[in-house]
Amino acid sequence: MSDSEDCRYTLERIFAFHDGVLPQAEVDEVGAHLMGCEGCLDAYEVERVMRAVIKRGCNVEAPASLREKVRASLATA
Amino acid sequence: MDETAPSGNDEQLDLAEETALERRIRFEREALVYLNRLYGMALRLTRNPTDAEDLVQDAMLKAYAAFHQYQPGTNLKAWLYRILTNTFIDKYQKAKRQPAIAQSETIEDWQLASAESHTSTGLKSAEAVALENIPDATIAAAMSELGEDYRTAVYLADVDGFSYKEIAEIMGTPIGTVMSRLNRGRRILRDKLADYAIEAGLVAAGGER
Repeated sequence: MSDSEDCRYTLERIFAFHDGVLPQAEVDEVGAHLMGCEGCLDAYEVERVMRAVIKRGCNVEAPASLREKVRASLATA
Repeated sequence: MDETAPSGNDEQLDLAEETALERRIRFEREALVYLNRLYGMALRLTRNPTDAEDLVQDAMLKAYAAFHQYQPGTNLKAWLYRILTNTFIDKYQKAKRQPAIAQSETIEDWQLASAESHTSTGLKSAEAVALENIPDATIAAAMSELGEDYRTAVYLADVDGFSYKEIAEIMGTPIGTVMSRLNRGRRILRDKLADYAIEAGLVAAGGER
């Protein structure tokens, strides 16, 4: 495979690699490629940060009043 | 040995024998701990705090009414999310047969064309740092602009840490569909945030390195 074919192969698997659902043989291939390819390693890193950022941006607390409202409606359900 | 030793330490609950009050106490103890998470999901779905509260309230009442059908020991969180998602679909989706999904399908198509090459678009690792400086509100807004199916899948995976299989159960779709929604949703989101980072001056536009 040429470099760009290896890159394509790797980039197609970055999500699954992160999500822990890639078969072990492919994990090994992707991991080996990442060690030697700065561009793909960058893509990997951005993906890692993305997940943390999404999690941070969407973490919200329910208003304190909601818990009481739900409990009150359960009591009369 | 005392035959009247306190019972119930192993949670051998008999659902048929359970009184209404016992069920309510059990529901409050086990299900209400997910209120914050469910509210977060509801906010992503409805994009509006008032509707989100109503949605959580409705979903909790439905879950409570069906709580005797829930199998203790199985995945309560996923069960509650499924009820929340279904309640949302019943309540809001039937009202407005929305064109938003079709719209996001077209966005994704042209983005997919360039997605498999790291030389054309995307952020470099030094610039991944810029992503970390994007304000929460901007991230939440970018999520809100995603098509609903993408938004739900990304939220369940990245915010709540559900597995593909759990997401498939919650959304009532095959795992393959979950994966493609996740991939496309994350890609669209990444590009939106990259655009923001460039506009906000967090990274230089078109930086050749």
